[in-house]
Amino acid sequence: MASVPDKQPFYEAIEACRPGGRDLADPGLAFLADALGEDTTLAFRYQWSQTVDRQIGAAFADVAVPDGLGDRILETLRTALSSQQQAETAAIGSLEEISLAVENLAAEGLAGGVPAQADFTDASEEGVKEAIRSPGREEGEPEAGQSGQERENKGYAAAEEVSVRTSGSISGGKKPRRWVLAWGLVGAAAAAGLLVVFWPADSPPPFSPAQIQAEALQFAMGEAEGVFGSGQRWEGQPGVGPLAFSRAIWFQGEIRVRKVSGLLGREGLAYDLHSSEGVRATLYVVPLHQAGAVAVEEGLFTEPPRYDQTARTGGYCAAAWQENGLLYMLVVHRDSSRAYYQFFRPQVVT
Amino acid sequence: MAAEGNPLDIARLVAEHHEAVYRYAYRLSGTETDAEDLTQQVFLIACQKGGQLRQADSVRSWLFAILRNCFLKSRSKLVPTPAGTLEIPLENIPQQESPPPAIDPEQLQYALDRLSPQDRMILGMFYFENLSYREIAESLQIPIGTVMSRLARAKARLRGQLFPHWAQQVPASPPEHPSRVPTPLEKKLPVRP
Repeated sequence: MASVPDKQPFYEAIEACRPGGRDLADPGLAFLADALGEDTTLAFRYQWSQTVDRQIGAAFADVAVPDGLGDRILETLRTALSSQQQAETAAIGSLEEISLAVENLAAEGLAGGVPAQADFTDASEEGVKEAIRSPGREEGEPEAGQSGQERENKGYAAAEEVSVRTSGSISGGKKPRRWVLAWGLVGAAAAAGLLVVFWPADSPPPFSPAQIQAEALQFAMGEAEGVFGSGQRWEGQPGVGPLAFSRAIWFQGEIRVRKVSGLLGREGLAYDLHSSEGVRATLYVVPLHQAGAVAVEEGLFTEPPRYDQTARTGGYCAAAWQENGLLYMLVVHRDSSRAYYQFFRPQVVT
Repeated sequence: MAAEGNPLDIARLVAEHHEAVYRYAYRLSGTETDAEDLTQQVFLIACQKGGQLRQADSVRSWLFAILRNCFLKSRSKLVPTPAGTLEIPLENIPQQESPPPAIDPEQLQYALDRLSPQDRMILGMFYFENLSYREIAESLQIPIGTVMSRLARAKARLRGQLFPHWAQQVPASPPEHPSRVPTPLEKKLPVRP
């Protein structure tokens, strides 16, 4: 056996040769071509390898293709592209319209003179409220009881925020009151514009449950390789807080949470789960209803669906359901019922 | 159908290449369901990224490259490749001339399923895509020597699954019934509809 290691490069070179002998002409394999004429053992091995490889190659391509596969692929493409365009249209269109509206209103407000006092009334006041609403505040949290001064202060804060986003040129610090009020008015007008833009006159059709699952699948598969598990460690309570972890998920391993944006035109959180069996899954949570985002069709599951009701492709499966005003999408990075059900209590999935 | 800015005729692309992509996907994934899902995913990505295709005559290679990426990504927890030895035991090759046993496609899949995704991929590039070791190195962006070693090891493992009697001990002579070599697990071969 002492000679075996010496022949290792020859063996590897033999295995690099495709059936047909053409690779022996490769300059990098010239040493093998020379050796084959002198060493009968090597020559036999080469011939044997060529014959076996020819058979394996033929068997490799011997796979029956299912009937109608081409049609199914085209149908899937139509559905996927349609829902993708729908989401992109909503997201991009909204941003462009918002920017345009803000710019127009800002220009009009400044050109038309600045009122001495801000007077937030009717739609303008609602717009300001919408603009200053903090992301962490729950829907329906009472605002009644605020003093007029508090509201005005919030109005200033909103005005400054909008002004920075709009012009990018106003810095913090003390500003003349009339400028603050002017920007407050701009903010109010912009927020009012938001209401007009998103009034459901010609909004795109809502996402169906199937489209939501397909969107979740595409979103998960499109995430970069290192994104999974890159967030902070999460140790909260399911169902508690905004964009809470789902109560329907049963998972005892480490959970990491990170922000995501653009999923169904919404911003939300992604909880990354890595089970003890080595199965990865990501639970995406976004608001069920969000201004500017395409609506969700009626009929979404109110609890995690069965495995056969999930969307599956490319070794992933996705489920979507609603829970306490939130839209949950679980994407399991493996396509099997066993992998899917390990993230739920048995009685939860019906 | 085509995405904006996508010069590809997707319907034609699917018609011309879906069978080859599916066959390759089946050999990589091992199941019809996964193969079909992978195939659909390949064409979806091709549709979205058609603008990245530089040479029209390399469409199939491009689709295969997408397939390989999709396949590896779908294997979230990659099976570690056994360390093993770099040497290919000479004993595993019959010492006298004998016709190699016939290889049934199902038997081949059964053997492939027992290999790591990385082994399956490099074997697919060699046997299915018919790429040379230089082309494999270029595609995977690894040194030529590494490709030759990996390829040799992967082929040795595949043959070890296909011809276990040769892998067990030094045969004194070629198999008595070389035309059909039953494997110990042959009865457990998956039955495809």
